[in-house]
Amino acid sequence: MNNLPEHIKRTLQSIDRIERAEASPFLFGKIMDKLKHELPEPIYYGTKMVVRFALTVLVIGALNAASVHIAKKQVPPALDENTLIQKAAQEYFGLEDHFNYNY
Amino acid sequence: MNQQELIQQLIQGNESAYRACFNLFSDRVHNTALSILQNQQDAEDITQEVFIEVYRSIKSFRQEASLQTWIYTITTNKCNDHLKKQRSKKRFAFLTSIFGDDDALQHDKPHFDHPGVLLENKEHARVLFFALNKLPDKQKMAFTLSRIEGLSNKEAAAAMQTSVSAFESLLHRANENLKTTLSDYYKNNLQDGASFYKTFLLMLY
Repeated sequence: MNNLPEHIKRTLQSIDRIERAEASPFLFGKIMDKLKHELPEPIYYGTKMVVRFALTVLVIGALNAASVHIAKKQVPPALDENTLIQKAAQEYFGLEDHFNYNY
Repeated sequence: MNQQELIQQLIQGNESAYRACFNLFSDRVHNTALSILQNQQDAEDITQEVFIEVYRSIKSFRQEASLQTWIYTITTNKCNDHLKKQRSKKRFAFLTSIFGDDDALQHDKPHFDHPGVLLENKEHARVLFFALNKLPDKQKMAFTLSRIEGLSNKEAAAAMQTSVSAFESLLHRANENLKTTLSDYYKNNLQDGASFYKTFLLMLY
C-alpha cells in the first residue's frame, strides 16, 4: 500500500514511449474493393433542380388546397325527410301523368 | 506532393492520391481508433469507415484546418458513434442477461494490450487502458490524442472541434479521473494480493 503513488506514476508513464500501432497492409485493398462494389456514386442535385422540385411541390399543394376549398363551398344544403320522399317520387313516377286512357 | 496538390487530386478522384493519403494517415487513424475502442477488429472497421468518408466528403472539405486535423476529426466522430452503439448494445445484453438468455456481460478486468507499448511497460499499460476505458468519451479522446497520438493541444483541440482552453480543461479532468481510478484499482488489487498471500500462509500453517 505504501507504493501506491509509485504504481500510479509508473502506470501513467507506461505509455511515454508508445509506438503507433500499424494498420493492416491489406486494408487499402479492402477499402478500394468496398468503394468499387458497395458504394454507388454519390448523387448531387443542383440548386436549380432543388428549387424546381420545391416549386412543383408548392404548386401541387396549393392546387390541392384550392380544390378542397371549392368542393366545400359546393356542398348542397341538407334536405328534410319529406322533401327527400317527394324527390324520390318525382324521379320514379313524375308529377304529370303522360298516359292517355281515352281510347 | 504538398497538401494542396494532394487535396486537389483527391477531389479529382485520383486513385494514386488516395493511396498516398492512406499511406500518410492510416496508421494515425488506426492507432487512434485502437486506443479509444481497444479492439483490433473495431479499429480496422473504423479505419475503413474513415477512409470511405474521406473519399465521399473530400469535395466538401473547406480546408479551414489541415487535412490531418480533418481526418482526426472524422476518426474521433466515428469512434464516438461506435462507442454510443456499443453502449446501447451493452444495455440490451444486460437486459437479456437478466432474463437468463446468455452470459453476455464480460468480466470487468484489464485485458487490452496495445501493440506499441514497450515490453517492460505492458503490465502497467494494460491497467492504464483499463482506467482509460472508465473515462467519459470526450476525456478519453482528449487523452488519446494528446498522450498516445502526441498531438499538440492546438492540433488536438482543432481535431475535437473545441477551443484550446476547453481541451486543456478536458485533459486536466481526464488526468485527475485517471489518477482516481488507478488509485482505487491498486487499493483493491494490492489488498487482494495481500489477503491472498495471508490466506495462502495460513493454509500452509
